[in-house]
Amino acid sequence: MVDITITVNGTGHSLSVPDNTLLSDLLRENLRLTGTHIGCDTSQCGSCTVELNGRAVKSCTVLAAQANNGSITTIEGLGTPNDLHPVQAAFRDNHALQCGFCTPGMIMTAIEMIKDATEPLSADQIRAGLEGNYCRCTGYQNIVKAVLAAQTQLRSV
Amino acid sequence: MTTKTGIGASVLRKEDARFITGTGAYTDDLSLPGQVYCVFVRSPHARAIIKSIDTTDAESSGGVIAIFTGEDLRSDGIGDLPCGWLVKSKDGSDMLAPSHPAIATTHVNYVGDIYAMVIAETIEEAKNAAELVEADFEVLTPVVDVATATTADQIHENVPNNQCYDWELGDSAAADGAFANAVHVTSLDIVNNRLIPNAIEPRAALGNHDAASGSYTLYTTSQNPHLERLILAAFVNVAPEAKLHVISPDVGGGFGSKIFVYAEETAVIWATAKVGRPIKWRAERIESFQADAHGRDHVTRAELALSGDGEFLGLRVKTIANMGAYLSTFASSVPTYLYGTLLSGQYKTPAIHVEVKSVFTNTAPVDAYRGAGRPEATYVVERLVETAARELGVDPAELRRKNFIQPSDFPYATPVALTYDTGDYEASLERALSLAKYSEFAKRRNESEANGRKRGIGFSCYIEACGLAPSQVALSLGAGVGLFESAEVRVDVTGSVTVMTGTHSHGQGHETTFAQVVSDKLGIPFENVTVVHGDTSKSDYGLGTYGSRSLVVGGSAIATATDKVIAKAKKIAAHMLNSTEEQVSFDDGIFKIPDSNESLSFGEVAFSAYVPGDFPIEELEPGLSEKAFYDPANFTYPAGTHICEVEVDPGTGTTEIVSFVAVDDFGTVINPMIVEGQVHGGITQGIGQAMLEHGVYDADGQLLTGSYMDYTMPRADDVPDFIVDTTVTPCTHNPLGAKGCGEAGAIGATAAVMNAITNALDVKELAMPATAETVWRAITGD
Amino acid sequence: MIPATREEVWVALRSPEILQECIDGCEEMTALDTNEYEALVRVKLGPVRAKFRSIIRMLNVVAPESYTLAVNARGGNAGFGIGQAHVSLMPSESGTTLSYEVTGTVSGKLAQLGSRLFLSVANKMTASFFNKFCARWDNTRSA
Repeated sequence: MVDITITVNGTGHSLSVPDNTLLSDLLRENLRLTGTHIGCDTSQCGSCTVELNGRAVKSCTVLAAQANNGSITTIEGLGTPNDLHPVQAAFRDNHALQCGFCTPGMIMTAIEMIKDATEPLSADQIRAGLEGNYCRCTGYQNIVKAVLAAQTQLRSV
Repeated sequence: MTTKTGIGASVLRKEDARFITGTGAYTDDLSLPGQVYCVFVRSPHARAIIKSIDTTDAESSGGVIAIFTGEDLRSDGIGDLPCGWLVKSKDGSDMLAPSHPAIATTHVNYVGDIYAMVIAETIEEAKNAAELVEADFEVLTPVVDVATATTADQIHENVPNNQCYDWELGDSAAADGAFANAVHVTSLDIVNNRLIPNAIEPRAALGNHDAASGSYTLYTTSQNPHLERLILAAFVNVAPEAKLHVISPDVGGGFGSKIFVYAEETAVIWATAKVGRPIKWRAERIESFQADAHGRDHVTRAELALSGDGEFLGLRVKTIANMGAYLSTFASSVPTYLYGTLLSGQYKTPAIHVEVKSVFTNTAPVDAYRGAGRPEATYVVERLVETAARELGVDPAELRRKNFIQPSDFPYATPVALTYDTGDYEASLERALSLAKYSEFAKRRNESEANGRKRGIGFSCYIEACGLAPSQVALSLGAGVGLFESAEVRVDVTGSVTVMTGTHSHGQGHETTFAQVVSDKLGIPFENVTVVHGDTSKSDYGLGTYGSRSLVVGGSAIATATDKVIAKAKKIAAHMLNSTEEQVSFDDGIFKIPDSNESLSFGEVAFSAYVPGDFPIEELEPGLSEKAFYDPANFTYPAGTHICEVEVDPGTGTTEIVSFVAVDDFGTVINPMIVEGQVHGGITQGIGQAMLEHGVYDADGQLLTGSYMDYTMPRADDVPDFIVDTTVTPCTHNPLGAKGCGEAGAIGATAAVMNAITNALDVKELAMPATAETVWRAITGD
Repeated sequence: MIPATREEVWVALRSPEILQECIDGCEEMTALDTNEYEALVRVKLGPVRAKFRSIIRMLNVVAPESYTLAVNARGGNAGFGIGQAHVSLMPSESGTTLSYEVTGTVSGKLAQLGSRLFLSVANKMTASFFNKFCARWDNTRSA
């Protein structure tokens, strides 16, 4: 067992978990934050993407112990239905989701992409930036549109 | 008042609020107190005899609660997993269906076939114990190649030649006559590559048994919870139907693969009573690859007979379809009634004959995957037509135009059993040509050539039979269930409305589209309509979502039930207004009578229905809630034109889709935003089949594409922005005029892409997927 | 190249203790018969980590020249591995030259996730075995 102290969505947690516990399992099973999804177990699909210490990571291939003393933001920590994060709102406004399963990971990836960009991203750059996230429903076009729209809003702030 | 949210408006989706905030509830997100975990032990061999299974070490492993084998299910009276569609061979005999136990007892027949289930306190403990289950296998030579399966070793005791059926449709003599008179014959050998559906949410099940009542609750990733319940109750004998409650909560994509009743949820719900604890199982991705039903996998020889001036005279098609190791729930219908019946395409081909042999192999079961049979039919027809145009040196658009069924020809009875009700194929083609700037293609091609690149353009004028299905037709063709749909429109006391549907939304946006239909018809705010689906205890028996049926059949049921609500409300309004129901008019949420300024809102009437102070109760029942079961009179026939333009780098074989235009006729569109999204997703899966995806087994029956490292699906930078538009000829036989849009993209796109690539390379045939390597080899002749 | 006679090498290659010592991840090695051994070996093949209960048979034995090592490894839920190594010993001036050739296939989860890696892992394990085996002679001599 390993003792872990982490901050998730602004709330501190101290817990003791088996050494091999994955961050995704800690979030989903220990903290019951089930918005972070497991699609492939091998970090190919990106559904489990969360923000760890300011970086988007695939939580299915991060050990919980690696996140010790870290700060994590999951989809649940972004906004509420009445006070959405601009990327969440852009996904809804541009019909950038269908079944919704990949959406939390897509949104977390998009947020980092926009945050990291020094210049406004082109549609092609956004497509390249979304390469680590599979969506089987949308064909990506509306996701690209949503990221473009969210970027415009976030950069103007 | 309904213009912004009614029929035809791009209303933002109700369901999105929970999905974008991470508060959706998919099966694996749910937990029950005291739940334990299940791991399935799967065959590493494609074909083997199970000589013995030793669970001794596994049982003493930490945390293990129980280990079950196929014998445990069998001795408890658990039946085989059935196939719900009986196809007959051309000699009139019934198809041959092998025994399909949820957990194998004597033989394993594909890699991933389950031979034991391990239940333990934690998932880790279940996995550890699964490693200790020792089976002694006698490995047999597997049957892998579909084309030679009929002459290979016999897999199942009761299936000689590994042949499920040898089916035909159409007039063989008429087709032969057409070929005898042909001036030109175009023929193609086509392999429709095996696909693995890969919804991003893996399948999952959470079962619970309440010993006091003897009832079971199963949460599972199903596109049709009522059918799941029916099959588990009536065929598999898990529990009486009344004691089995099935819930499909939020489901993360299906594309057909979650229609079927699988071994895993069967074993889970059965075992939950055995161990007296709730059991959870969630597939790892490798299990999705190994054991979700795969799609397509046809080998076809097709020939088109033409007259001297390019008129289609006849079509002959011979297909061998792979069923995999066992018959999945609807497997038999896919390469027959969903395939052969579509070979007329959009054309007046007078004579068509199709033969389909379905065979068993030691691979995962194959069943419906987005489009199911219709993509395969479209691929055959549209590759043939395009190839014929090239061979005859005529414009492929012109050859199609010449042979289109014309608007004046409807209703049009094809030689392969369907009657198309309406359409305007030329309208879609012309619009697509214009959006694709077809007239300037030659110029673009010259520019590409000047830059050392090869450019090609390809068409696909697809048609599909959707809105599954008219029950009488389906039942007469061998379906085991009717294919109507149920709806209940329940008006609340305050005038808000709850709609129960037997369809299931797993990305399609029913909660929005159906609410638009009801709010538009009742003239009430969109926000006041709530759609409930996916729970067998809440909605009436319905058939679920697949075959682009939800709006067409389920929406029609909702529209019909809503009409019944209006009719009842008129009676109430007539009573309240001291008039007769014939006198009462209802428009935009207001009840009126002629020559009077008195009127009632829908809310006032609803309230009165539940507060019936002075109702003449002999004539007027209280309450305002109506049901409908809608059974369509015919299939619907969405159709359209897809045009794909590609540019190929001859040095590497890398192919870029530079333009993709889709013009579809879905009849009346309720929510254009949602429809466009469905088209985008469908096209992307169609492109995936054409250029990236291929489920591959080696000669030993080992699945080589068992992870996202080896099975390639389109990522964001593999596809372009699509240009999407619609033309409209409303369906003539349902109350909404809608035709269905879920599968069109996947049905039309694949042929358009391959026609474009073969055009760019100037080759007749090219195997799918047309990866960079395949294209490069075609260019270099390597 | 091993600084020992062919006969010495031949005997060593058939000693369970020496085999266990030289096989990476080998936890147990028991001689079942003259030409048959049972071994428990832990292997990591890409994303799959498995413990294999293996039956190792020596076939086509031409003492002390050559034999074929047939390995049938059962990895439980991870799948099966079947491998063959053809080993030959040639006397040379300073000792014995040992050469070998490896072929094999995997099944089940191993094939789905690790087939691309299998031959390289099999080659690596075999190379490691013979390196350790050879190094053993050097150590023996220097000791």
